[in-house]
Amino acid sequence: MPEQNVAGAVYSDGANGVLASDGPGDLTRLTVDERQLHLLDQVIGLRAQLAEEIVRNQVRLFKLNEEHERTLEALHQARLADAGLRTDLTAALTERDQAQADLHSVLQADADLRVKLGDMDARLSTALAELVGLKESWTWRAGRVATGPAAAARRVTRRFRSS
Amino acid sequence: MPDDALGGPPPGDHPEPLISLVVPVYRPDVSYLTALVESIQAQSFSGWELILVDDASADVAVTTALRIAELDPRVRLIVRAFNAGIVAATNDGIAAARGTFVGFADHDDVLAPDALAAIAAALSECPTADLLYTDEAHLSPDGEVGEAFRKPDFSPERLRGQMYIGHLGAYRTSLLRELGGLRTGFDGSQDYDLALRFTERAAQVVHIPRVLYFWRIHPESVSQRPDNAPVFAAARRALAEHLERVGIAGVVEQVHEVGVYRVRRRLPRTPLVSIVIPTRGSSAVVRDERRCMVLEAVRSVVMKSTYPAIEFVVVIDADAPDGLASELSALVGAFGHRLRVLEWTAPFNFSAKVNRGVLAAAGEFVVLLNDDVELITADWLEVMVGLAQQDDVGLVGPMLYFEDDTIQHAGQATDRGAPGHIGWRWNRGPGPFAAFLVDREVSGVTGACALVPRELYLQLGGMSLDLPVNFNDVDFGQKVSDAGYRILWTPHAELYHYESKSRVAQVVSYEINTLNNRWGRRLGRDKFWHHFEAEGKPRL
Repeated sequence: MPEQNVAGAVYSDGANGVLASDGPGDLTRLTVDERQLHLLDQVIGLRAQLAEEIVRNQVRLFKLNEEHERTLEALHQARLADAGLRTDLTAALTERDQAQADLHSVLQADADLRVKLGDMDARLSTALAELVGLKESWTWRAGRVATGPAAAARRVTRRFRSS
Repeated sequence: MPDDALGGPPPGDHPEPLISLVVPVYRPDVSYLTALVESIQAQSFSGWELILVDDASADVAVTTALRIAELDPRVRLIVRAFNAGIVAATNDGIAAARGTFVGFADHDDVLAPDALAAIAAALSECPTADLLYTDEAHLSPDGEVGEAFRKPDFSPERLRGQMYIGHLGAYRTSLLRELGGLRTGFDGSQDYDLALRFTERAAQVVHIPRVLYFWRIHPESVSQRPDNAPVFAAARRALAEHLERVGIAGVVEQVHEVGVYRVRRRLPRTPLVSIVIPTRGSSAVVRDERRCMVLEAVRSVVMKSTYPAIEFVVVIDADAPDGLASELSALVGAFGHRLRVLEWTAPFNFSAKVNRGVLAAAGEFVVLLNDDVELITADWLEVMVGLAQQDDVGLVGPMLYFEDDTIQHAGQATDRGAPGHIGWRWNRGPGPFAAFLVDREVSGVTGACALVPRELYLQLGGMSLDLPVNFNDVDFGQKVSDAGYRILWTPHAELYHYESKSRVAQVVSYEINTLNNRWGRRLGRDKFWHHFEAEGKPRL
């Protein structure tokens, strides 16, 4: 009922001009009985406030407990995630070691291959050199072979002409 | 079936359900009956059994529908050989019930899907509860949900004015059987009679503030019949017997055609009542006439009141008009009452002025009365004292009207921390579910007119001086409740309260803080008034 009036605490007369207040005001003119009544009200009020505070604190404690539970759960989840990450890391490290080993093997194989290739290069060079030698030899011979018939022909021709 | 035959069901193989729903059936519209059974079968809670008691409907369609329902192993059908009425049929169902609690439903109503789950949940929170009840709403023949009856938490005074518990109620079976179930001779008001007898013995009564039951209103409903005189007579008889059992001397009157009652109490004695009025003696225009407010307030009381033992204690500001005290003295003396006049010279503090008046009062009861009221009901003090003479009642307030006859106060309630007046600016009328026609429990009453036992007022430290202007009555009401006393509001004591003539509401944060520091947790949800806009319309 937000549109309703506040509970009718104010009576008409005497309230004029004093409609707002920030406290009990001057209590020095209270009689002894009135002061006792006031003290009784204060005791009841404080007891009510205490009960209110206890409930509020219980609510706060409940909320804190809930938050603590949530934090613990989050911590647990984080630990689980951490454990997962560690497992992943271990696997990754193993994989890396394996890769390094593989790389080493590959490099070794590469080196061996390079040696082999060097040998083969050397052998190839030798072979090439031999081939060049052979080629040159064969060229001479081939030249001889190629020019032999022509010389014979020329000799025959000369012999024929001279006859 | 005689009452002593409610001995319990034969042993069965199934584990006991928590709730046995008992539905007496007599020639209902089959579609309504089917809707009820289906709404029970659709419950989200599984610990129930349904006991359908056919009170010899002798109708093929009804019999067929019941036989189909019986195919569900959770449904049991009892067929009576001859028609004997709702009391006998219901008692047959109670006798057969295996549940720890028995719930009653009418054969044409509907349960919300989580009705039984809510009862089970409430029971797990309050295991000592003997009776649990939910809110309910009207349901049209075509299934439209209508007005919701948002009930108060257990209110024995209101129960003496109307059968507000209604449906859905779950009654502890053992106590139900101990009481003999429903009583013959109260047909039509048998549930009211049961509620009165049951709550007299119940260890705890729990209200579940949710609309979980839908009451179908159609032309064939019992409540819609043109002649319900025997039903109302049975209710009055049930109430009269209840008054005798609980030791209240009084007579029962029907005050409304829908079955709302008033207990007119007989006062075994008429203790002195002190009417404490703080005033500044100011004047205002009421009904086109300027009047000295306090003089007219006192005049209306002395001229109209029929109560024999009245004392006036008027706390008058020092700057009040001269001669006011002597005028009051002459007025009161003329009617043979006593007047005490106390002068107030200290700075304004409403609470302090009232406290001074109460301390000076000699009455067993004190009425805190504003000076801007005018009495309407002659026997207002008889009514209020009658209610306050119950040992567990700490505060009683009346119906107050503005000058234009709209309601100024029908009790106090809080809505999400904000205190306010029930019925404020509403037109005269029965109010939601006759709330303005019955004596009922409230969270507080206005300090403009409130009757309190003087001894209790002093025990509670009176009005708090920390709240010199606003909310001191709200605070006092909370103190009364906190001390374990009930606060009652009655429509049978009426006054005018010409508040608007002199009052400008202005609340400062200090007052709100003081109130909330003391009672904040109690101000969130009102125990006795739930008819707030924010509640919205229920849905099925």
